[in-house]
Order: sequence, then C-alpha cells, then structure tokens
Amino acid sequence: MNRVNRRDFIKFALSSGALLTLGSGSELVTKTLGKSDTHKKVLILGLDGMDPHLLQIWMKQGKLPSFQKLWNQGDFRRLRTSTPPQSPVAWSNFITGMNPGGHGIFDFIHRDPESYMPKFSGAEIKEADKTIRIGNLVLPLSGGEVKLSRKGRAFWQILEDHDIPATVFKMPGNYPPAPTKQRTISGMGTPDLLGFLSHFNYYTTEFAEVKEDIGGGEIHEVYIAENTVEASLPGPVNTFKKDRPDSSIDFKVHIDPFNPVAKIVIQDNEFILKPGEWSGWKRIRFKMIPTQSVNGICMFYLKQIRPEFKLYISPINIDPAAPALPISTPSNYSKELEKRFGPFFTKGLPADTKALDNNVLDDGEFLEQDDFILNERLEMFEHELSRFDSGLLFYYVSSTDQRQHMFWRHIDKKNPIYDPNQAKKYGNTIENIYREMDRMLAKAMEKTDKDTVLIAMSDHGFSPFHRSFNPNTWLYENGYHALINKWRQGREDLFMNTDWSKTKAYALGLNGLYINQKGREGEGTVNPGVEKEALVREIIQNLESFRDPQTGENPVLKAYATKDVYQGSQMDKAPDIIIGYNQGYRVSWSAPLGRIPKNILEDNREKWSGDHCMAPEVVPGILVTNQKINIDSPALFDLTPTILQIFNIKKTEGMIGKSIF
Amino acid sequence: MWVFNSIFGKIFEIVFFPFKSMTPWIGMIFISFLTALLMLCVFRFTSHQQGIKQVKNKIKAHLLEIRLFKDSLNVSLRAQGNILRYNLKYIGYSIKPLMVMIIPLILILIQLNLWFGHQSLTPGQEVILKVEVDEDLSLLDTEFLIESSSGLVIETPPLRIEETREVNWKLFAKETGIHELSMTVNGHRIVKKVAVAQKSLNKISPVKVRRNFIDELFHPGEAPLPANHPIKSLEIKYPSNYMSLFGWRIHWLIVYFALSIIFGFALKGVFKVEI
Amino acid sequence: MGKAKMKLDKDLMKKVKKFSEISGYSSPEEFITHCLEKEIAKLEESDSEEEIKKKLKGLGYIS
Repeated sequence: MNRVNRRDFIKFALSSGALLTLGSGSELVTKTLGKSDTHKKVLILGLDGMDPHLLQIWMKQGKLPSFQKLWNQGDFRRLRTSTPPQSPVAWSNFITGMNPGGHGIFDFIHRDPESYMPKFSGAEIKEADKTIRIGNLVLPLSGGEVKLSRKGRAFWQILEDHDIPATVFKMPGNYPPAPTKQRTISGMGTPDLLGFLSHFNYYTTEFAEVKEDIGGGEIHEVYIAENTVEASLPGPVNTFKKDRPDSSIDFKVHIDPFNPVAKIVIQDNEFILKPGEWSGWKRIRFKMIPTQSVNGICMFYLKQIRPEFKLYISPINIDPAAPALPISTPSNYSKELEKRFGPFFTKGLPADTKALDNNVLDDGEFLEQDDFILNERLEMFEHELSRFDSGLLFYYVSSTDQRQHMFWRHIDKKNPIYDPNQAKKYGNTIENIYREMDRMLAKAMEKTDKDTVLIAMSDHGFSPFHRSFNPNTWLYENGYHALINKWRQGREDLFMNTDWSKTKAYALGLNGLYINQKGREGEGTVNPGVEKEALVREIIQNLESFRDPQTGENPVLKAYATKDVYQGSQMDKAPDIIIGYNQGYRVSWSAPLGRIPKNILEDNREKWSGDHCMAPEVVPGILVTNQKINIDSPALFDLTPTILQIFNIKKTEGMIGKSIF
Repeated sequence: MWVFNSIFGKIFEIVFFPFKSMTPWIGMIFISFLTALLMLCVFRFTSHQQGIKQVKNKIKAHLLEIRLFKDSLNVSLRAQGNILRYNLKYIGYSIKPLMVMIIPLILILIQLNLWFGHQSLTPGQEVILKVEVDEDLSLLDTEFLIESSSGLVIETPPLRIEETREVNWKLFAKETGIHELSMTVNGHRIVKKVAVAQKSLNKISPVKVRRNFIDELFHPGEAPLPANHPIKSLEIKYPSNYMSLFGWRIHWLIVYFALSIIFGFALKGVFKVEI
Repeated sequence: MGKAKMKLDKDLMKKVKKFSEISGYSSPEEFITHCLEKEIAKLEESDSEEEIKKKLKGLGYIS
C-alpha cells in the first residue's frame, strides 16, 4: 500500500466508523449521474389532466395566483396533446419527442393481431424460459423479465449521455423504468403486487353486495362467528409451484360484542380500527417457497362493523423497500425514499377509482385515500426540490387527473347522475386540487432563479363524459363486423362472438380501430393496399357523419387515418384509424376489451364522469412557463427538443418537434 | 423477585445513564465491552487455564504434523484423529466456564432487551394496549376504567376478545414524556408507564405481569401486580427495535454477541487469558 | 344442421318453460341453448383469457 492509498484507506475507515457511530441516523443517498454542475436548470411540473379552460377561469377569478404570476413572467399556451389524448401516449410523445408512429404506444390497450387478444401497452412480461422441476416445485434457472414496450430514447437518457443530471419522478408510461443511471421512479403503468393494474379486496357480510365479476377488485362474502371474521387476502401467483396456485395470507378480525371497534391480525401486524378509520401502510409477506417470499404493502379501511361488516383492503402495492419488480433506477432510489418517508404508493395510478365506481368507497372515502396520495406526493416534492441544484427535475402529480375523472359530475349539471346535494358537498373538489397545484407551483417558483427554466404542463385537458359509444356495435350495424350468434350479442368480452371470417374491421382499446387485414390479423379478410385504403376512408367518412339520435350531435368529431398523422418505425403496429370523440362522448365501458353491446349509444351513469379520450382538439393540455414562447401552438413533442436545447444539445433523429423558445 | 429485579435493573440504568442521549451504538459498544471483560474474568478463574494452553499446543503440533508429513497418509490420519480428540478435550475444558456464565448472561440479556428490544413511541404514533385477564373474570360484565395523563389519548372503547381472554385499546401518543396509564378493575387500580420519549436510548418495559417467578424473571422492568389480581398482564405493544448499520437492520442480539466476541478476543492478550 | 333429441326431467322441463318465458326467450330451446352455450363458453375460456381480463380491468377507463 503506498502512502496515498493508505491515507485514503484511513479516511475511508474513519468515515465508515463515523457512519457506524451515527447508527440509525446514517443513510446512503442515491446520486444522480451528472458529474459537473450545470449552469442552466430545468424544473418541470407534470400535472396530469390539467385543463386550460378551467385554469383560465380560476386564474381570472384570482384563485390561482402562482399560475397567473408565472404567466405574467413568461407565457401561457394551450398545449397540443397526442392522438389519441391518453396519458401513456401523451407522455410518451413528451418523453421521446416523437408521435406514436415512432414510440409505438398507441393506446392504453394494444392487441395481438394473431389472436385479437387485448394486452396492456406499457410493458411485456417474459417469464423465465429455463426452469427446473423438482417434485411440485418449479425453480427458475434464468431470470424472468419485464420489458418496457416504448421505443425510442427518453430525454433523460440523452441528458445522461451529456453528463447532465436528472431526476424523473413518476413519469407515466415508464414502467419498467428505462435503463439509466439517472434517478427515476416509475409511475402510471406500474402494476400492483399481483401484476394487475389495480385490484382491491372487499370483505362484507352483506350478500347483496357480492358480485361475481367486477373489474379492478374482488368482493368476498364473510361471516361473523364468535365475534371473529376469518378471511384470506389473495396474493400473486406462486410460479414456484407446478400448478401455479394463487398465494394468499389468512387474517382475522376480532370484533367487540357491543362496542364499535375491531382488531385486525395479519401476520405480525396487529392493529385496532374504529368504523371509518384507515390503518396506514401495513407490510405483508407472501411465502412462495421456504427461501422465497414477496413483499407488499397495503392499507385497510374499516368501513362499517354493524349492522353489516365491511372491510376494504387497498390494492397491494409493491414494497418500495424490497421491490419484487423493478420500479426505480438506480434500484436503490425507491429504498432510499422508503427510508426517509416510510412505505409509499408505488402502484401506477394509486387512487382506487374502481372502488369508488363500484360503491365500495364513497366520495368522501375516495377523497381521504387520494389525500394520502397527494400529501405523500407533496412531501416528496419538497424533498426533491430541496436537493435540486443542477440539471433537470421532472415531478408528476396524478391527483389532478383522477379527481377530474371522478368528480366532474359535481360541476356538470348535464351529467346523467348529477345530484345537487352531492354537488354542494363535493362541487369544489376540482377547484381545490387546482388551488393545491397553485401552492405547489409557488414552492417551485421560490426555488427558481434566473438560470432556471420552469415549466408547468399537462398531458391533456378534460371534458364531460355524458354518452358512450360502442364502435363495434356501430361496425356491426354498418356491415363491417359479423357475429356468430345474434342473440349472444353483448354478453361476452374478447370478441368471443365475432365471426372473423366475415369481419372487416374491429375496434379495440379506447380509441383504436383496426382493419381485419389479410396477412396481419389471424383471420384477416381485407387485402392490404387499395382495398384496405378505400375501406379506411369509407369507415372514417361514415363514422364522422353518424349522428346521435337523442342529441343530434356527432359522437365522432374526427376520425384519423393513422398513416396521415403518424410518422416513424412503429407504424406496422398502429391501429388503422383513431376515433376522436366529440365533447361529451367517449368509447363505452365494455367496448375496449371487445364486447359488442346491443346499442350503439348509452348514457354514462358511472361516477367516472369526466374524461379526455376524445379528439385531441377537444382536450388540449396546459403549458405555463417563465420564458416567452415563440411558436403559436406548441405540442407535447415540441417540449423534448426544447429541454435538449436549453442544455445545448441537438435534437436526435426521429424527433419531430422544435424548440418552443 | 422484584427486589432483585429493581436492584439489578438500577445497575443497568447507571451503566447506560451517560449514553442515553447518544446513538444506541455507543451504549451497545460499552456494554459489549463490559460483557467481554466479565466473560474473560469468568474464563480466567473457572477454567483449567493450563489445560487449555496444553490442548491448544497439542492441536497446533498435530496441524504442523499434517503439513510436514502430508505425503504419509498414515501419519496424517493419525494426526487428524488426535486433533479431533484434543478438540473434544478443549470443549470439555470450556464447559465449566460456560456453565458459570450462562445464568448471569441470561439475566443480562433480559435486561438488555428492555434497552434495545423496543422502540419508544414517537408523537403521532398509535399503539395497542393489551390486557390479559383472569379466567374467572367475565369480560363483558366487568367494567374496565382506564385513564391516562394528557400526553396520551385513549382512542377506542374496550375491545373484548373472548378467544384469547384479553381486552385491547388503541392509544395515541400525543406528546413526549413518560406517561402514566391507570386502570381500575373491580376496585383494583394499576398504573402502567408508557414511554413517548425522544432520547436515543430508552429503557422500555412493555409488559407488567402478575407476581409469579418465571413471568417476573422475563419481565423485570416493572413492579409486579399482586398475585391475586384479576389482571394477568398488561402490555404496550411497542414496535420492535433494530440497530441500523449502513442501512442494514440488524437485531440487537446479533450485534451484542458479535461485539462481545470481538472485544473478548481483542482483550484476551491484555488479561493473559487462554480461551 | 342436424338436430339431436335429449331427455329432460319433467319437473325441470316445467321450470325451463316457466323461466324461458319470464326472461323473454322466444322458446325453451333458445333458453336451453343459451344456458349451455354460456356454460361451455365459461369452460372454453382459458385461464389466460380470464387472466387478460383481470389484468386489464383494473384500468379505470374500462369495466
């Protein structure tokens, strides 16, 4: 050991000694990549679904002083969203600077052309292909893999090439996180521990509430025997066992014979709840085989004890302290956050809109849950903001989007289920979240110096959702789609009743329409080329001229032939037509997974009453920044080259936008 | 038993007094150091020091033999047999001091669990109070009167569980301090201390038991209830504590044994003890 | 398409007639066919299809 090394060694020994004596106070902090400080800084608030129309109304009324101030300092524009305006598509435009033709994310839901089966567009899971079987056990020899489906490079990967540090917090459509040394944690698209997008569990003694098939959750019928409820919480599939059983954890709820109080005992957790109380995070462990277990975190909500027992358990989130699936880069980042803040929401869209839609949670209970999410998000924002001193920080909020989806019915008198009493109580929910974002923006502005470019943006706006459209029913009634049995119509998902040999087109996902093309689809009937082209034009024309007999309006404002609006290498996977719905209209609830109901149009009577899966012209996003904007109608994909330009980096090949400054 | 427990407990309070505001690691290092000294003393005076030295030399010699005569299978095998024999003899020599040490060590471990086994509550935290009652006390007909000082809030009515013969409450820690919780059952009043403290190293007694040798032995932190009391035990379900090292969470027992052994070996030369 | 006859218990046949009328089927045959189709579809629908639905139905936009 030479002298310098020895000195270093002593330094190391001393510092590790210091860490040791610090004990519980010590923590290892994940570093971002950047080696040198940047002169310029970029701070972006990604406020999902913030609507320019509402923003302007409340700005005018003086309710959003920070947004107004930022506009006065710089500029405000409506931000052109993606086609279709769905979050994974829109944010992917922003991430890559391309449109869906380039990044390959066309919808929340894609399809396998061979089988016509829908699949989630964000990620593909590949299980270990080499396994060894010992008795009842199946042990993987090679690791399984979760693969991000989005193509193209993310802007923070490009920044990384130029040694510029970035923290990207919960960017939608980035699960699993794109490989990078930058600090990133995945957001929308991250599944729960069971691999579902969202799956709650609800335990009730009320038989009437037990339904066989509800999306996004499971309702369990339970009994009270000797003041105790015994039940089981379903866990992930045990891939280590031959017959792949679902894992589960048994738990008990002890109820006092008279007092309104209960104790829940699950594994080594023991906690007492009164009706109307949330438990906070509880950590649970699903045992797979003696050496393997999977950690999750969930919250319990005791809705009621008497006369009927009702217990809600939130979707089981991946434990950030021991993530079973990749949720951050470096993998330490989620652990570091967990150490500082305790367990936190890791599921992509954390608010349980499905529980509200199924009346498992009511408006107030849903808001309590979303407040947990929002407060956690704001706390972590302050943490990230306080250590942001170089490069780029992107910070995302989902509550803006989720609250508009669920509470639009309280500000929209034309909504089919508008209730003036409820509106009185919850009518200001949306305004409140805008004002909360205004306070968040104020904090960001405090941190902004003359070298910082501050951008507050959203991926799309919002619109009422009154009537739903069944595109496959429309196709069927217009002779483009054939059924096997007419009387079975509307009863099955996944095109179970479709006669593919006579079908020319089908709609799948929230805005996509595909031609049943020979050589591409499993049982294609339409020849590519002239025949297909003519069919696309014909369907577009007929869709756009179709009128809602009840309102006289056109449900479809505009249908786009994707070959006209997309560019890039992923065109072969694109839908052939994107349906752009008119204000107040959207695809129906069951059509995206291939159900063909009897009526083309239905009223939307769900609590999910605001939406944005329409024509992009109907739901632009917002763009407020402290700089002057030099182009008239900026689009999401223009922001990517803008970020690069601020750091003097040229836009890369395939990027279709231009800098806005 | 309580007289012994309170005196023995006081000794630990004095030992840990200077370290209460420091990271628990300092107290842990210090107590491990003292334990190592104690173990070395016991070893020195209860073991056959000369015998141990001889046995160790023999083992070394036979190890050397194996290396020197590695070509001769015969010699190697015989040497290995001898090593095994002397190892057993060495274990034999160690049994006596181990036997002497085991009782004080258990007592020490029980005391240390009060200091390192549990996290004190922090303001804003909730905790369960669990009361186990006598077989012949009716859970539903008995009134449990419970009161607390202002820094501690009783959040729920009693939750009576017949299956385990217990009554539970949820408590909410509002302010720091050592709070008192009093409970009256059939005219018997009990006071239990609840720690909501901000010191890094705290003595925390989770369980108060009824007079009974074994129970008192394992729960020495508080004076016991009279033997005829209708309540068997009173427990605050403090969260378990871990020692943290470079982000790893380690059980205090592992740290304690590891440090004691390290100190023992480091100091054996100083005190000329053969182990 | 050929037809096959099947024997049904008299009491069951009564019930079939009654409920096919109540649920608005044009004939008991249609009702029975639907019941069988539904049950068979359930059996045919493989685990993976059930899995697809379960996975995706957590998405707020669909049900």
